[in-house]
Amino acid sequence: MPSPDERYKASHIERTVQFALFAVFATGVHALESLVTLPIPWLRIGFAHIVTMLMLPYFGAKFILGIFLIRVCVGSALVGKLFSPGFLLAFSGGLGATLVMLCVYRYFHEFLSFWGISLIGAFTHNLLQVTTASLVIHHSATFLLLPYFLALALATGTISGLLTNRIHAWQIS
Amino acid sequence: MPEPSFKRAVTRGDWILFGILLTLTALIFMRSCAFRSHKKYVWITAKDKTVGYYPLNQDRIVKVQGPLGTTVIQIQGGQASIIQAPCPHKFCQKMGPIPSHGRIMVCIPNRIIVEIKGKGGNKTDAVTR
Repeated sequence: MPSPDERYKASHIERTVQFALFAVFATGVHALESLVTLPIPWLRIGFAHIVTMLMLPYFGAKFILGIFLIRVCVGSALVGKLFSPGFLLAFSGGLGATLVMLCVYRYFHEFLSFWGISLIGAFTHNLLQVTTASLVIHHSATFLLLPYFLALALATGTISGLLTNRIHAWQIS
Repeated sequence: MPEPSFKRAVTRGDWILFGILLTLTALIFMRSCAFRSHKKYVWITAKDKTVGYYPLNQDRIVKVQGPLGTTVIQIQGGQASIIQAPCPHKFCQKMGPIPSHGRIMVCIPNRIIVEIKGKGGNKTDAVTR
């Protein structure tokens, strides 16, 4: 019978290992996603957010935000885009989307599946990206792209959300 | 791992949310289309100061003083162009004519910006500084 102290240590180690594994997984998905070629450059389905969403039911906000920070920094460094304007967009959009998805999960998880959470996340991501882009280039012309970005968010949010529903059902069965 | 209290399939809330967001996107699309058909103005900025704005649908010629000399801007047939510039490379002349909202012509040596904006200039767009 382990003492409470040892038990604490064991759970602490378990948590650390989980954190490391998820960090590697999320970073890999983030980096590999930029290799997927789509008709519109910079368009991403949001596979990295699938990892974030899969963590929502099991881990706390600190854990998930930590994973996000690691994946966006290390993932961008791996593909050679760290601190580029594109990185700024990915960072602001991703951070906002992660925070919003955390809040939505906490308060609305009885009403929404991953599809709803993904949709809200995608909308936040694109909205923040357009805003950041306008700040970066000191011109508000980027808001002309907003309707197209939001339409794309509907599509990509649906794809990644339904995928997440599938993966999660398969994971817990 | 604990059994999560989480919906495994698509819920009614999802569909409601999807409907709301779809309507929102459609509304923004319609608004942006309406915004584009608004009256357009040619904004001229020299040395960080607005020199003036002129409706795009009235033909006229505007002369603007910059550090190097006079730049001549022509508004004709719903398009704006720089027809005469004192700068060495004349890139600003090659950037025109510009017909639509958000398009821009810049002369860096003479520090002149010609830009097409909707009515009210900055009022309709966000402030970015």
